Amino acid sequence: MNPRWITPIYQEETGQDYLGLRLVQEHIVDFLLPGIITITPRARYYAFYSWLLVEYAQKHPTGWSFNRFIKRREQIFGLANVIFDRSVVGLAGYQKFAAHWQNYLDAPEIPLTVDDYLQAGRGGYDAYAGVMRTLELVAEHEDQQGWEVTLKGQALAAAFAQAIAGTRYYRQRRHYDEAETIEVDVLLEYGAGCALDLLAQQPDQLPTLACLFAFDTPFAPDPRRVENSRLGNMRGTLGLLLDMLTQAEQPLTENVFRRHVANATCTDYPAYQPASALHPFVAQWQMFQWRDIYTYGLYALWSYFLHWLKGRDRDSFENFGEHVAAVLSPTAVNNTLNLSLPSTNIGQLSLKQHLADLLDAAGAPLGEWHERCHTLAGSSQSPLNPQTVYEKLAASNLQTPDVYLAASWLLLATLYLRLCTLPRESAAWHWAEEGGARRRSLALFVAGMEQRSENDVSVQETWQWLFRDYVIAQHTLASLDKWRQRRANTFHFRYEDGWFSFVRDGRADLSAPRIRQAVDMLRDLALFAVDPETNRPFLTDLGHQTWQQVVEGNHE
Amino acid sequence: MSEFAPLQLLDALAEHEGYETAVYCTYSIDLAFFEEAVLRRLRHNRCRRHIIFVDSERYADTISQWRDCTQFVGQQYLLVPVRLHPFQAFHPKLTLLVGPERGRLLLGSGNLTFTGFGQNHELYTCLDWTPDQPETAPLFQATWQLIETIQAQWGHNRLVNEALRKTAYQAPWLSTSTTDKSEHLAFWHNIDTSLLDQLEQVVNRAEVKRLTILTPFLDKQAEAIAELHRRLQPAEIRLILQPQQAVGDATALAVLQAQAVPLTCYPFGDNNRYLHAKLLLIETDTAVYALSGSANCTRPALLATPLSKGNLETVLLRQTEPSNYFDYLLPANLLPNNPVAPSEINLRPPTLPETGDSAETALSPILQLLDLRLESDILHLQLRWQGSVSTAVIGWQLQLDTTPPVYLPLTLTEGQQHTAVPLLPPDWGHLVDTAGIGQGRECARRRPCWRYTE
Repeated sequence: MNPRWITPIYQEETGQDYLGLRLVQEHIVDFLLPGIITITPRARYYAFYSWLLVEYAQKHPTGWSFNRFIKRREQIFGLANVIFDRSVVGLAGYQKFAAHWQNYLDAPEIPLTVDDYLQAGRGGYDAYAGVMRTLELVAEHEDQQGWEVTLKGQALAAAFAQAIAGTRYYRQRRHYDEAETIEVDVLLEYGAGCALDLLAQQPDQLPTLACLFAFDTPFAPDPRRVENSRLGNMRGTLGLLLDMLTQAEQPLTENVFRRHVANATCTDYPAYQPASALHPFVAQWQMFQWRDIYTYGLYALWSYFLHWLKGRDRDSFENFGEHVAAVLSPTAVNNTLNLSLPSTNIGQLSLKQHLADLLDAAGAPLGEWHERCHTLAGSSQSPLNPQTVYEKLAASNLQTPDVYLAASWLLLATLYLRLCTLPRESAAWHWAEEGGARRRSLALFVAGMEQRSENDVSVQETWQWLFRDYVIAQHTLASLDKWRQRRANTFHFRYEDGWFSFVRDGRADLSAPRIRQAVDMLRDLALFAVDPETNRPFLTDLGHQTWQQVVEGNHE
Repeated sequence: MSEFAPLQLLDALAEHEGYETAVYCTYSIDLAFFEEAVLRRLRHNRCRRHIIFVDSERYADTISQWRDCTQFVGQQYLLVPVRLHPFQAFHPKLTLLVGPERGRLLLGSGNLTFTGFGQNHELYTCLDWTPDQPETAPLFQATWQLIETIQAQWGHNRLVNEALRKTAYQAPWLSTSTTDKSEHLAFWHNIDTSLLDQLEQVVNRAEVKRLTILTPFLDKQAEAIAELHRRLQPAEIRLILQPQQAVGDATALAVLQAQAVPLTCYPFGDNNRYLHAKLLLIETDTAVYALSGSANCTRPALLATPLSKGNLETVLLRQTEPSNYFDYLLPANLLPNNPVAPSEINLRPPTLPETGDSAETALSPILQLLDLRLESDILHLQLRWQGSVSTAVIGWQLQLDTTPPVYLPLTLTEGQQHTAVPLLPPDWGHLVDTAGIGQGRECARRRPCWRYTE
């Protein structure tokens, strides 16, 4: 019967994806690039782990679990790679291996005591296990008790074994499974055979290429047909990257890839025009990009709301609405996109009128509404190109809040203009619908904008709708999800007694499309190289052959 | 569970089965949190009848700003806005769980929000009634009477009447008259008598050695502190405020000190969580009293009633001894030894409209929506008509908040209260479901979902 303090109902305050919107992007990438995830950057691991799985099945020290076996073999593999090439990148456990070797630089032997190179029970294999199943290198037993290496995996394992067959380590590997130390020269020799960077010179190169490009699996770019294996899409996406490399004037970074897919269907985009066989993949990746910058735009609005709250004691949503109306002026919009909108109060305009003003100011030819939007969608040079607006928003920050807010709004408005003409029956539109109401699907956003446009709803009411339903409510629901799942408190604002107050900053980010990892793998496979003088990438002979095989195969 | 150990409110809600009804009173509400954290747990425990009384202003915020966060309002629980006069708040914070053989009362300072239930520094008291533990019955009965009074005076919703009636039928112990009142614990509200009047009566002119005040809000002139000093004449007043967070006027506090009020200020020791708890500790030679609940140290909370421009508040008064009994609430890490000047606490100024502030110019709405329900194909609205309407007004429309909006013509005649029955467009069921009383929203699902079911 005594008054008591209450305890917090959360256990941690860490998290990510605070609006809970990025899951859809992950689904798209899982579909288009199923054999690669962000923590699997090096192609050679597929062969190495296949070999380990086969070796364990064949023979391992009595009583050893697979975890113990893999940690010993990977430890030696890691040390061999570090000793062979100190600057190796993408090596699982690199920091621990490099530090360990540093302690024994002048010693002839190195103790095998770095079992803690990664915390994961199965070392680096934990990261690759899922994608190796996807790539059909490993399969579960029919009785679902354990796994087995498939014929494809066994071929890859054999190729890796062939690569290191001449080394002392290979011959005495079972001794080293239980040894306390290993000689440096044994590691150096093993490194010359197993180095991550030397895949292109080894027998496992072509089997790895065949495995990643899944030449034996049909091409299946329609996400609505769930009965099809998505494995063939590895070939489509990797082929798309090769296709871009055939026309590359600059290194193929993630940003360049995003710009190319956003504009690849524009006839006035000289930097990249896709091979016709790859159009289905361009459409899918384009939808990924639209979804990603849509999410970015909502995160930007969220960051802006938090930034506004940060500067004040506590405040109401109503006052925020007035603030937005004051800040989001024609001047701010004009300055952001170098337009000349009429100097009327944007908030008071109907959404339809505002969008028409934008089209007028951007020089879109006059005509029927959908015609104008179609024309816009075909132009990479228009200031209303959502990719261009995104790049302006990404280059701005909250130090210039009027530009930031204007760019955030314009990003969403121009995205609507771009998407409103897309055929709803297309395969790519499937991704616009993905996520439903819970993840604020693109289709829901487009429909909401369309309804407001057709019903003469004002721009101000549209902002309020977006801030209320897509930002504040979405953050609340996402935070409660995280609280339910792992008792995390990820709220970035506090809502108390009708007032909002600031808790912590937020920021807008893009999701990870795994493109960098995919390009790294193409480099590992020596499908392209970079001219050291011009820094321009170009396809190798093997790259050309592979690209042709993809394009021609896809035609079939 | 220790009588002093910190309380996990959500666990306390779900600790037992056997409750049929949950009644909540709160100033503000986060419906997404309620549905996710509270409703889900209690329904899992087969508690199926839920009624929430909430301040009407905060209700309006909730429905307008957070409507996309709610799924079950009007279906799995009833939401009742309580409208006091402008700038007066419906401010109680309690959860009453009732079953035939079991009752639990959680009364404290936290609203029905994520922050109020599990993030802020809040104080709560947890009381149980069972047939084997009957001594708490008077407290539950007093709470139940208050709920019935609130419903009678401000509720008006027929479904809530039915729910309360069923609850009382299933739990007759709520209404069984008893004269055994605990001397050590009392449930108070301020519908008829201000909290300070009641406190003064209990203290009964005993010499107050020390008054300790913990509060997140002070009124502009520190009027409540001045009145506490005048009526109780404590030898010492300790005022504990959270730096950068508490709302108050440091100058007013300094003025009180200059007027020989024995007031010393202490910064609350933990700034990591927002201090929203409210507590008065009154130490006399013979007893120590702890008054805790919803009441801030402000005029509308302590000095007034809803009829005299006050809020509606609920508190528990715990009386015990010795005088250091409640030291567990203010350990050294929360209450530093050294007092500071009021100006050093860095208070937030009370610039925002303060609940309970007098506002002679504020107007009541002409038309108030009291109830909305669908029966068969007829949408019933219960409206309250106040004052006279300009002759320029020739009719009324009900706007259903859909996209596009649906406008239904209403025909009303002059009077104090009417029931209007608008005709519904044939396809309305595809457009609208009710989001509780007085609010429509887009219906993402096509199935009708307007009925409240138990």
